[in-house]
Amino acid sequence: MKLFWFEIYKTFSRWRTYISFGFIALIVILTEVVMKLSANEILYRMLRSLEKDFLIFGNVLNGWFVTAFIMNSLHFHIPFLITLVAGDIVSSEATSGTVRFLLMRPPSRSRIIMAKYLTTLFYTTGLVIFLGLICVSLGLILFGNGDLIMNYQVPTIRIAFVPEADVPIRMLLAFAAAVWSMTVVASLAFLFSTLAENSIGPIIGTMAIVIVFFVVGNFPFDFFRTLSPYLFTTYMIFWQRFLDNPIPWQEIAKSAAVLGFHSVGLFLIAFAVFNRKDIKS
Amino acid sequence: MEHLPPEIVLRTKGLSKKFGKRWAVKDLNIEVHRGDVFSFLGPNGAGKSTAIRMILTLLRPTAGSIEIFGKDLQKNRSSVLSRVCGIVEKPDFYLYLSAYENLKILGSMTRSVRRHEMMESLDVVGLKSRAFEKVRTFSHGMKQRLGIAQALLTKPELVILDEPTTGLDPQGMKEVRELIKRLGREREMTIFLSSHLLSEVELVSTRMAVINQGELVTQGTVSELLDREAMEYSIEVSPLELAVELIRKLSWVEFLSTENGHVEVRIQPGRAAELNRVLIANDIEVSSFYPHRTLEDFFLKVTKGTSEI
Amino acid sequence: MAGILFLLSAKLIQAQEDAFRYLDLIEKKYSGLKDYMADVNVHFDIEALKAPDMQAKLYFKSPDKMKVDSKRIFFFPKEGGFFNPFQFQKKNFEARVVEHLIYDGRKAVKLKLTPINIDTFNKGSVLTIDVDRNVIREIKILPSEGREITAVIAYGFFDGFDLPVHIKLQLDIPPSEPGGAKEFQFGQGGKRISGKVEITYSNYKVNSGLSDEIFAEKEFPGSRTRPR
Repeated sequence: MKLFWFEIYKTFSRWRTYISFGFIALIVILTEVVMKLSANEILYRMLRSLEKDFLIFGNVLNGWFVTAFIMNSLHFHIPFLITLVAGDIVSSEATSGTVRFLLMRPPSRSRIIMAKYLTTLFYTTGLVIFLGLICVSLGLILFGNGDLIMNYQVPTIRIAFVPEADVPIRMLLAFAAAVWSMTVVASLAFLFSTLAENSIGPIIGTMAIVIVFFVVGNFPFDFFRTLSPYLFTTYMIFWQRFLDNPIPWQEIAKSAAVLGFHSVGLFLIAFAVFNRKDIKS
Repeated sequence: MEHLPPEIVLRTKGLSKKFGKRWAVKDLNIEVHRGDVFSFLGPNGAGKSTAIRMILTLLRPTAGSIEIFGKDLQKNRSSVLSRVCGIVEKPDFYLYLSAYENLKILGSMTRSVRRHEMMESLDVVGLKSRAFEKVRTFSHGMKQRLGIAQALLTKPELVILDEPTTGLDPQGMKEVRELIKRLGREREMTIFLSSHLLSEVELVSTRMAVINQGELVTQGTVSELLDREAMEYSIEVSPLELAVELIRKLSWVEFLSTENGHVEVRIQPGRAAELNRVLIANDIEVSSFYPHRTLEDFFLKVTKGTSEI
Repeated sequence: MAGILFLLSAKLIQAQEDAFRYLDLIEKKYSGLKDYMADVNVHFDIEALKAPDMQAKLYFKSPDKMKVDSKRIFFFPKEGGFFNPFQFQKKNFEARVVEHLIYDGRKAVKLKLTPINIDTFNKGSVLTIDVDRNVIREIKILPSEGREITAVIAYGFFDGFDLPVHIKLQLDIPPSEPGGAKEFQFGQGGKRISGKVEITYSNYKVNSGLSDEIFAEKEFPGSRTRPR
């Protein structure tokens, strides 16, 4: 535990750790303020097709919808912010030379790498929770409460309603799922960090994989559709399913399992690499 | 595994490391005794740093074993390393943390360290007034001193230093040299160090080993090793020509040159007194008789493979 | 020839006058209805709209003020779901009798109403009116742009008025237009919205003297309380 707290202390002593939180706060505040100012236009675009046949009442553009919208929009932003720390946490020791001091100490490499990985997960969880807290709290203040309407394309095109009373727990589960998804990105960046001796490589490498996988998985061609189930990015949006009606538990379990295997697998590779690595620098 | 006599603190047996097809260290067998200031010498690329890194578990040996305090390092890593401290190349710290914070983190990884202990270590190296400043504001020499402070903090029994005076000015080198002597003398620490500065090594070391192209060339006490070699002497004599003529006749003396009333010869150290008697017995006045006995000479000789051992 | 034309047009005029007679009777029946409020429950049985039952309080003030008060989001079918006995005004429609029939065991008449201002969206409707009770039993929106809606209305008697207790809607409407951020487009393209919507009215309070202030806007920009 001592090692873990030291890693936490080191990570949160660096100002660059706070860039991520600052960036998220800025994006969320800007987005929500603009959405509030453009509420009528947004409502029109949202409901235009339905309003041909339905009269729609109630607080449609509420804090929960805005939260879901923001979460859905940050496909690459959140992963990038996660790689800033995850991709740096091991490689920065090599860059600065402190890896020598670290590995000459009594604690085994296994304990050291475990402490670093737990710190990475702690940061990832903190970042996603921070996103959630700021989205929800500011969203509820600006837009109020209400039922959540979600638009789904898969497996069928449909609109799902989540009653207001159920939304908080669903959102909590959705954010837990988002943390789980981001753990894969963190694990990938962490692995690259153990392989590299600088931080730029792991960050770029991780983002390249995330972006390429995401794009390839969404190409509307048969060949890419067959690849899609093998790409972890396909399962990363499973948090949305907690906002579906009814909740597809089986699909969620499958996605969670796939992502979990990825995280564990990537960590185990990093673990093995770090334990066997010769420190020549 | 046989148990070492207590006075052997560090022992390597057949220690080897291969990088690709190249043997960086091959079959290294050295022994460091308790209380030694043991120097590890070799030209650039000889394998010194590789050997030290294996001892400090930064590199995995390809073959061989390392015993510290009589225990196999691989099997008892944690308990062994808690009694060891190392500085490899230049000491690096977390620049965004203060000296105090760095000591706390690095020290606490070995054992619980109290505030007064950290302040005391900083005081010993003259950094107490800078304890709470970020290390990024420190000069190279200050970082070196901080490195020694963190070495002292955990009260290790064995201190391993790889090129500890690299990048230091003469004052810094002197400080490090004095500190090394003090560590051995006052704190009864065993010091294992590698250095290129042979004059420095000669001044502090009690034992040494020489490595060349990954292989051990020789090891022993400094005086033993230097005494084994034929020494060069400079003798102030009069009359010079007569002395030269006499010396040329002695088969156990190698005449080298004459310079400013001195004759330069090479003889075995144990026979210096004999030469002195012979000269005096032949009515040659001997005003001075002193050896050119330096570690540098020895080092250059053994690493070129011209040793008479 | 002219005579035949005259006879035909006379018949047409008579048919139109007959149709409005039924509508006038309905309007007269409800002339005393100033306002009402009721609890509404909407149940969706539509594949593309996975919604729970929605509840709201409905306020009506003649001739056309309507307000839905719901703490939650509330979808209400535009055509056929909302009861306004004054919505089929003579000035807005052309009407003619299609046929006389027996509907649900009662004498009824089918009227075809065509909006005077025809647009592509609304091609008109066919009303089935119970001629004894002077109530509209069925509204069928004529197919336009692939849109088909049929509403079947059951009534109860409250404070002297026949008011709906149950409206069953059968919907078959086309998918929406493309364009815009998909997060902002609900029910996006490719799939028709087909299924049933059942609206249940209860707890009527009739002519309770509703003020115009009730029909004012709510505070949040993301909310709706009046149809737009």
